[in-house]
Amino acid sequence: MALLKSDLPQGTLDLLILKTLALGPMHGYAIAQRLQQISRDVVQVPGGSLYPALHRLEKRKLVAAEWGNTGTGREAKFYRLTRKGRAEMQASAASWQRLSEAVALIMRQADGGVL
Amino acid sequence: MSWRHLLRHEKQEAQLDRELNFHIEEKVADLRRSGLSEEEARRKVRQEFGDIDRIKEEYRDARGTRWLDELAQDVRYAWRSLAKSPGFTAAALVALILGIGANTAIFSVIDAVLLRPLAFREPQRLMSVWKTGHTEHNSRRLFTLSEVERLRSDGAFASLGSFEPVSIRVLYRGEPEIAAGARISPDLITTLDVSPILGRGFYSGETNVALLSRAYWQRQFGSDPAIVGRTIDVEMSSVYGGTQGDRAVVTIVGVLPGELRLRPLDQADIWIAPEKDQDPPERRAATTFVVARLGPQGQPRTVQDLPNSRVDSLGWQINLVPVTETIMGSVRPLLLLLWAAAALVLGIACANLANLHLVRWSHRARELAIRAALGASGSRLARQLLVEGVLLALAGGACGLAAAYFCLKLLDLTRGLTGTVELKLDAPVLIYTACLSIFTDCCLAWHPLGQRARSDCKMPLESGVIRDGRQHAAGS
Repeated sequence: MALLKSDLPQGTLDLLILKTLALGPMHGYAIAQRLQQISRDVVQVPGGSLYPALHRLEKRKLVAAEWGNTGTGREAKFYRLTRKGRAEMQASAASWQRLSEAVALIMRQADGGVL
Repeated sequence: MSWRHLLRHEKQEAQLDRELNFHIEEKVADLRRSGLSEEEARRKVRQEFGDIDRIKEEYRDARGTRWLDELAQDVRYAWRSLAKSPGFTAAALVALILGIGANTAIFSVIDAVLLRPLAFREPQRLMSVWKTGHTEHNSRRLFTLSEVERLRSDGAFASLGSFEPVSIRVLYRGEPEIAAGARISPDLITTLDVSPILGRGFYSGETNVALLSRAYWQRQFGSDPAIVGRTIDVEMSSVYGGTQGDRAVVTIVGVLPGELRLRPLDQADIWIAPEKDQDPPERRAATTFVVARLGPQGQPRTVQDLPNSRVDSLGWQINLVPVTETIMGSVRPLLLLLWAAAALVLGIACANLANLHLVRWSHRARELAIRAALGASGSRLARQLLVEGVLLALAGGACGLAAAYFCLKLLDLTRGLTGTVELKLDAPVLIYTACLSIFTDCCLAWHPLGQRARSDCKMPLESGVIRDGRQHAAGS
């Protein structure tokens, strides 16, 4: 089942974009493709969510953008992680990790019927 | 908002288009490769992509330029809606022009007469001195020269200067001309403490020297800076008649600043410090005006308040009137009254306009309700009303300024009220007009806004629909 943006917890999309950009600069379409591939088609980000998120990140100077040539010779806007973006990514990745572990812990406990 | 900013804004919009197009084209190409037809691929991408206009709006929100687009829209909308009701617009403009024009004209007179600083240093210490009897303290009579000498030797004032209006026949480059002049004592310059705009003042005891008024210098000598040091042949005779004309050759030493405003000194084109009078002073008529500068110790209103004064023993009294009062006192109440009247005119104009607006909005209640139903936010609608008011008030302000300009030309012709001050639409007046326009606009815009806030937004829409429905039913 595909996850839409509304199914993603608040702020997760930003983290996913930053994490993807940590691999290297890429344009918006490539980010969407990469997210879909890595998540095995679970995360499908529509353009209507992706670009506003990218522009927000650009405004907060977490990513920087610049026009460049794609492999196929077309012009596209490439985004790359800034130093501030990398720090932000690491911080929110850590807190996401903690949160998901905590959630998993609680789910396990509930399953075990300890209560 | 600069043009560069606007251009950058255009460029960024274009880049956003290119970026989104790139994404769409890549996706379409991918889908085509997976076997979809061009048409199907595009439809699918459109579905997936969502509303492109919404992305653009969010983009503008993120960059904070959305207000710019909306403002442009609002201005266009306001323009169309004003153009659609020319009767209302014309009536509103006429009211605004009258209100703002009258206020600006009166304010520029007030600015020139009451607010602009005088050319004298510390004018509050300057007093016009008049001769008066022991019984009638408020009469204003002039002095004879010997009386002036006695006042001067009395030493009650920090300094004292005198002048006598004279008519001057000027012989300059042959042709004789009549000019208004003043025979002054050299210490008048130091008493008034005016600084010439060109050249210098008089040294104490200096004789046969002259200063020109700025207007005369401009009119007669074409603002020639080389005028200082030239000599002119003059023949002075008292404007009160009687005395024989004195001939003298005087040297021009400087040019006075404009707007001295102390009557009748401000009428004089040439100030001359003549040679010491040879006539016995007693023969002279009482034709001399006296101005005194008080010491820093206080502001006596009568001669009794003056320390060390022996004037009491002279057989006559003096009457002191602050120069600021001489200059402004008589016109101040009149001007303030005029100002109040002009303010009232504007108030009435505002009230009329607000009523016109109200009638107009009650006609437009449906339009507003429909736009609210289509998703325009309350603040957006309010802003549109405000923009419409601003547009109207700005136009009214601009036309009002033009009207004020013509009023001033008219006032300049009459001159009675303002004396020799220069009336102009300078920075304080422009600021005043701008504030007035903004104030008017706020009155105009908030009135219907308040009305709208009180009434239920949906009601006009519903009643309109029902009415239309009935009409429709009756028609079929």
